[in-house]
Amino acid sequence: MKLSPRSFVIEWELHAWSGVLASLLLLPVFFFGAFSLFHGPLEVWERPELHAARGAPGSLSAAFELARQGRAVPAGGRVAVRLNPGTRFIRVEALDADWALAWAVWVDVESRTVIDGRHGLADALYRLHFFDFFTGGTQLAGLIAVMLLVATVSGLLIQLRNLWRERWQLRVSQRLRVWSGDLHKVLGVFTLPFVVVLGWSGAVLCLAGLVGQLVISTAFHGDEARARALYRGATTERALTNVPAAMLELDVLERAAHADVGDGRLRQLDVRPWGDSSAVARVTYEGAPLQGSRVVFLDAVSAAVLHTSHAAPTPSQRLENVLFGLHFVNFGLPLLPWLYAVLSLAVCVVVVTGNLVWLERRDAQRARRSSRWLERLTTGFAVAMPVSASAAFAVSALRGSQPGAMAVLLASIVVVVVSSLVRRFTARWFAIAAVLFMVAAVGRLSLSSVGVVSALLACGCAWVARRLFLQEKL
Amino acid sequence: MSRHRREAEYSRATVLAQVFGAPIAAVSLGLIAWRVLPLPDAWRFVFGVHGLVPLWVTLVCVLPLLRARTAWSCCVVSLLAAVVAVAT
Repeated sequence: MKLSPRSFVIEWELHAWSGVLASLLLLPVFFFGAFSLFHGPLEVWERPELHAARGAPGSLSAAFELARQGRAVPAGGRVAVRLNPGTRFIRVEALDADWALAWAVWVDVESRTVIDGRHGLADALYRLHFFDFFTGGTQLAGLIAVMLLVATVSGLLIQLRNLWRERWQLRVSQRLRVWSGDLHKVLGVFTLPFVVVLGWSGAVLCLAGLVGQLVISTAFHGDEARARALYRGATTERALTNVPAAMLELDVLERAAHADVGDGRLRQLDVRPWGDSSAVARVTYEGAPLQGSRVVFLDAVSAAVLHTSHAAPTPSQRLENVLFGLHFVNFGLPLLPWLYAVLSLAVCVVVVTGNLVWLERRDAQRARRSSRWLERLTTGFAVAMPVSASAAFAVSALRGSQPGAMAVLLASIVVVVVSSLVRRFTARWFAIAAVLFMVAAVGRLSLSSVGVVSALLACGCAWVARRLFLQEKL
Repeated sequence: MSRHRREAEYSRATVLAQVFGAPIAAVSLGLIAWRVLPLPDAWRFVFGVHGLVPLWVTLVCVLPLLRARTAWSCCVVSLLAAVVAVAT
């Protein structure tokens, strides 16, 4: 297929503008997204107490009772217990009626140990991945995902006629515009299916709330229950009765759910609104690859089964199970998170080289001030990603899990971007990131996937720093 | 290429259609799909809701290829059709 010259120019401009406008925000989405794939191992890595404790997690009710000592569960709030396969500690958390975190702890039933479980490094990296740290951030991430899809489709259209011929073309000895253009095309083509799947599923995940409200108010004339029934098969939402009721023990609820599911590994159990006669327990078990989790909804007062997600999934659920399964790498193969992480970093390279090509093409004489600012911002953001992650890793390795991990990440991003606007320190920043990642890798004297990731990133940053130093000398 | 670039230059109205018209048209087409497709409710819901993102992206890529008046006409017609479909 060949586009007409007019269509080619239009699609090229669309590709360039959508890519440039989304580029700076796409970097954190994909860079921190790579770390989000290791959320479970990271949670264990940042807390040495969790790493030491392996084996069966023990009773959920006992963990909840230990967690509650000295802590109150907010009325009408939510209680959740979650298991992490890397430790026998159980995470127990309570949220208030507005879904704000009241408290969170990790509990080891066997040794009766309770440690702070507030959001640390793993959660900060995960939340930064879709800007879940300010109001409207998630929706912004959804828009960025749509712009990514636009850039991908228009890029495919303009590259279609040369797709096969230029699939391996990488002229590294040529000038910047040529080799960065080659790298952009080659990596762009190879990451194409990954980007389409992640972009679509990410847009659905981030814009679901907005789209849901829109659909309910227009297509369903405000009938939320009917919309939910078509979406999930049945509605399990109940109106708050404000009639206090005693909640059943968590172990009792889990046993009732387990009897319905048959076999399966428990992941999470949550009850909401806690203490109300309308409370519903939601018990989540691991599902088959690309078939979603198996969720059993129970009455938290009587343990009667209200609904099961896996009995007769709706077409929406089936589609989302596949989409979200691909997004969260829920298809069982152990090496896939590593492949996803490599592809995520490759997308970051595609974004940076795309901006460089655009700037070289638009302003070959380097005369426009706006182009220079964009160039510095692109460099600044590209450098800020590894530096901020390495700083947060090093702080976590040296001081243990800290609720301020998000502040460390954001502060480092601001410092690096501002410094890049003032003066070029790219090579030095990469060298600093290499040292900090190495500190994180050796800071915990235990072999884990996170330690390996840190060491690999340290090597990668050191290699980039060396290349840049050599380039500066030349 | 310069002649093609001059030919390809499109007005601000086209860009506005691309930025604001495309999501409106995508939502409208989703609503129309939900109302008129001869399928069971659950499947119409899938096409109407989950088709939104692919439709939006397709429209952003296709609308600038049209002239501004045609692009806006497509958006307005789909919006009116959706209003009628939802109201009836």
